[in-house]
Amino acid sequence: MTESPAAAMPSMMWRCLVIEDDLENARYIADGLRAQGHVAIIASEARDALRRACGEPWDVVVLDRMLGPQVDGLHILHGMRGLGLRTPVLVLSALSALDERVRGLKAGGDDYLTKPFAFSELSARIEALVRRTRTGEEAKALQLGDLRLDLVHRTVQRGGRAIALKPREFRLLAYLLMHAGQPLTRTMLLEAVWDYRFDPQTNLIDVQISRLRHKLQAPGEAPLIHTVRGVGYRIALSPESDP
Amino acid sequence: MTGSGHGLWRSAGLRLAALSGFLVLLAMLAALALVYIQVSSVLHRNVDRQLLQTQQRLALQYAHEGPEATAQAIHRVLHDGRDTDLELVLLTTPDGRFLAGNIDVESLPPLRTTGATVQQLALGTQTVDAQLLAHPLPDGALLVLGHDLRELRRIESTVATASLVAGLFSLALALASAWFLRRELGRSVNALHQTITRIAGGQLHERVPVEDDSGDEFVRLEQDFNHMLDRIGQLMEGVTHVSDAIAHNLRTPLTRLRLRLQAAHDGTADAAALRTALQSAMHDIDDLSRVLDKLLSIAQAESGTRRAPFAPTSWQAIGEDVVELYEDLAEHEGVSLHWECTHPAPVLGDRHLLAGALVNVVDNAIKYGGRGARVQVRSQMLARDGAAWSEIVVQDDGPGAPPQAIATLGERFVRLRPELPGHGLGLASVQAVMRLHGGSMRIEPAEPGLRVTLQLPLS
Repeated sequence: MTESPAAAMPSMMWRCLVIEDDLENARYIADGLRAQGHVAIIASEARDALRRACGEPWDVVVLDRMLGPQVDGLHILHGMRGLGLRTPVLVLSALSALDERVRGLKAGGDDYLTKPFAFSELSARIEALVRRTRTGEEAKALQLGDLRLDLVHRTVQRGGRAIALKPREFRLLAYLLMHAGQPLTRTMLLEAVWDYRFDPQTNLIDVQISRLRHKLQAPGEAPLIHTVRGVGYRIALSPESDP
Repeated sequence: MTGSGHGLWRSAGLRLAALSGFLVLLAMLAALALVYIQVSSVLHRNVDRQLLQTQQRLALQYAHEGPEATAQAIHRVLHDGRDTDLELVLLTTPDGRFLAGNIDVESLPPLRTTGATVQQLALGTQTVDAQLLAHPLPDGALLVLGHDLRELRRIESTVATASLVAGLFSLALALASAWFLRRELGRSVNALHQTITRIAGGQLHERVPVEDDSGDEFVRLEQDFNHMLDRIGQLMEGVTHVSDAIAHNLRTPLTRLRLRLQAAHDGTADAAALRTALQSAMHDIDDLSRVLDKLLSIAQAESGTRRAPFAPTSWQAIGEDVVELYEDLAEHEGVSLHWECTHPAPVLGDRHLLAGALVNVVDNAIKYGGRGARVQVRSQMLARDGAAWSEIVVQDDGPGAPPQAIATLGERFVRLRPELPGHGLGLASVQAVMRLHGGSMRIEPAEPGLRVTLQLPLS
């Protein structure tokens, strides 16, 4: 049985390509990513963007759906996928409708975010994308401190004590553990655990999380699920720093 | 052809009427010509036969009984009182002199001896057309039989006159029907044309006057046209109303945002206060973008365009998920949430949109039902209007809503309790999503509480 030491994931530096024709937006995104210690390069023109996206190694590409009035960003995505590049791509769009998202994902995008968005949401999604490609999803058990989740037998233990979870609570915890240390937004949780994409009424996910928290935490035990202000939640041994 | 002639010919009604009139006339003329030819040929054949019979009889008599007896027989034929004024006979002696009959030898035209011919014949003081059959007898005598064609000509001319009159009459009828058709078409089309012109000119309240309810094609067309105009009118009104509402609901928070930022900028607030101001500004922007997002998805659902294909799903599956999603929240809010499925029924749809719709309704029921309320979610199948429907009913036993408020629920920006958080777009988006799926949303008082039914056609 392979174990994924979720807590031992070191903080890494990523190479990010930001394809966005609005230079100010692009600069904010790039500055935000640089502030987190990553490398961020901006490409604002379609041909240049395609050349750079295909010609250099990237950990993630942030792609604006509309590059100017005529250029559809999905063409760049098609080009990349046509060359067999598996780089995770997060598509940004002002078109919020659900089927637009479906189109983006069908074209080979890995995630989709509508404008306007909070930088925290973007950063959480980018992190989830990069980690997903780096860790893979072959783990059969997930561990964080004394918390252990067995994906095969679908059991959860903390400090030797068995914890009974409802199926959805189990999936929620598994998703949190797979992304241990990363902040996850409420929409990401709704999408990943319930497989629905709609705007959750804020406290809907909060209540689910608070249930899970209570089940995981016996008196005297340290809290594992932490609230990240303005973003969502993160499972980690310590509330502040990266694990 | 003149310009006005061209203009007249451009009328589809006239062309249609002229074509049908021409065809009727043609058919009529063909029928009349046929009658004339048939009648005339039957009459002529009859005459031929009679002549031949008489000729054979007299020739036989001549051969057996001799010229005298034949002359007497001819005399009898001419005086037997049957068609005596029309029958013509001449028997000559072998040397060509008159023996019997009513034709002068001198007036006899040269005759062929095979078959009957029509010849002019002087008969007493007048000349007549006659059909003549000459038969030379073996001893050199000549037997001529004939028929005065005056009677026959009269019959033929009567038929011809009758045909002509009928032809003229049908021509007149064709012209009249052409005129009538053109007038009828012109009248109906003109009414449409004038109305359309006025509407195109901006007078959107105009309608085509429908004069009767006879249900003919034009009346139906006019009624359909008016219905279409009514629908367009409603949509236009809706658009105007909605854009007003949107303007209000976006501008107001924008103004608030602007004022808040201005105050923070101009004031002497410290860093912490500035941070608070910025945070609430960001919150306002998130709120605005949520409103915009909702409005866009409502507009898209209402326009009826969906590019993602619908997939098989069911209210049962979606209901179960949503109820499970809300179980803990309901408990947290002190509301008991119950799920019941009497009949799992397949529907075609977009599960994200349908789940979003149901979430809106369940969320409302919990919010407006209030602490201590019981919210029942039930999925069932039923037959109505000759079709099978799958519906999900969300019913609470909270305070409900007054009937006049219920009527306006589902319109954009209508809020039952403005003091509770929300934008008044939830039920409007539910409505749009249900319409997109060919279904409907129904809101009724449940006494106590409110009952919302989302209905979908069974796949």
